[in-house]
Amino acid sequence: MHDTERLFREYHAMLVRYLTRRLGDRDWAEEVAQETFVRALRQESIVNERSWIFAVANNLVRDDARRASRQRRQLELMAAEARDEEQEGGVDDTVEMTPELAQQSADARRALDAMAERDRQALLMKEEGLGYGEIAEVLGIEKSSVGTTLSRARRRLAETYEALQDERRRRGQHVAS
Amino acid sequence: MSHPDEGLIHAWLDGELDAAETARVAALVETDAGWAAAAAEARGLIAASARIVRALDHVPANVVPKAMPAKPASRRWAWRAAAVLALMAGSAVVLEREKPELPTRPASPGALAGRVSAPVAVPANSTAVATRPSAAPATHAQVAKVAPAAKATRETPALESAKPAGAVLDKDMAAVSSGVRAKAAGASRDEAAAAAPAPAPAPPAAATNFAPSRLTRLPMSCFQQLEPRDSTARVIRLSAAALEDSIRLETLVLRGGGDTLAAVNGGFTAVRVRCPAP
Repeated sequence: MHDTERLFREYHAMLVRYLTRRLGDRDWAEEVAQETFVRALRQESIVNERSWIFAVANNLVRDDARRASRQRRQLELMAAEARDEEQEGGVDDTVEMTPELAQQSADARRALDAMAERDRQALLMKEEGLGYGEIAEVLGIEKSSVGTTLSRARRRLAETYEALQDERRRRGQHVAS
Repeated sequence: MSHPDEGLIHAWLDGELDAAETARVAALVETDAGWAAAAAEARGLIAASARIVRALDHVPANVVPKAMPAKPASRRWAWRAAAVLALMAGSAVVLEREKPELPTRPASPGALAGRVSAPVAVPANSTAVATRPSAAPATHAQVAKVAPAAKATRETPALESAKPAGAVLDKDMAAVSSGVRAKAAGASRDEAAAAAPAPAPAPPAAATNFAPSRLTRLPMSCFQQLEPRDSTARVIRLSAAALEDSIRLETLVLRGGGDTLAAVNGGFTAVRVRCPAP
């Protein structure tokens, strides 16, 4: 298997999930992910694959990914294949969207958006399984400060989310009364 | 008693500390109430943040129609219950359930013959489909009468007789429509024995004759028009509700002009036919 193909199969789903969570836009996430792998195609050697991919993706998000390249078409096909494989593998994407789930999702998005960019990236990368060393490499910070970054990010996210939920409950009670 | 280091506790819970640090933090959490409380809180935050992040994945799917309608939404849709398939002179098109894509071909009756050689089963209680196995000769006669008439005039008087009482037929649709032929293979349970042999369509090479006696007419109520009246095409869906459970359409034969028909939707549930020029 071509190395790029291996990279794609190994990291594509993870990267798209990370970017979707970060951007709140699946199409944009797919676009950035594809551009990331296009960059990987051009790269002669990558030492730490996972942190390299996430770093490039983060840079692309910041710079706003540009369109281009013939490879994109091939990557689109590979993405479609990957999605099919994910579905065959039993990934349940048929969760019914209830109003409650929609509210939770909206609150989660608002809480995430309220975080500092670095905290948000650190948290989302951790949720994708990146280690402290990789997160530090991507963010350009000391490994020893990742724990502090994550503890702050987690607290901020949980507290903001909880506040939003409380506010929603209060509004619901007010309307009911 | 040292002040709990939250970052260190999170790193410990994330398994990012080396052995010595891990042992040191574990001991502190075990012996110091402040560290124990901080560790408990950190566990809660880790679990909560993971749950919140997963909530971001609840994105509605399939909310955008895969295919946009051919006409703007402002166009009036004629949701008429009754519809027909065109029967026009010249060519024929055969649709088969097994075909993933619509086979379109200008076909002669001879070419058509290979596709319609399988036996037909009809619903026991159908009012419009009168083709019980024992009534096959009558159906044969009926179909044989329809085809030449359609060739000559594009109108099929017999169609009216096939229309269920109360069915509404658009004017323009009436002009277009001339007949429907469908072969229902796969007999109802109670008629399966009578409808032998097995309902599998014979391969084209094996069939040599057009077998009208094995065709039957389905009631108009079995079809539902899905396209606007003023569009240049008609999508006609086979109505599962109107079809008897005992009918399982295997092959639908359309006979029409050269540009009749375009697509089959979902195997064998709908067909698109082109309307004639007004």
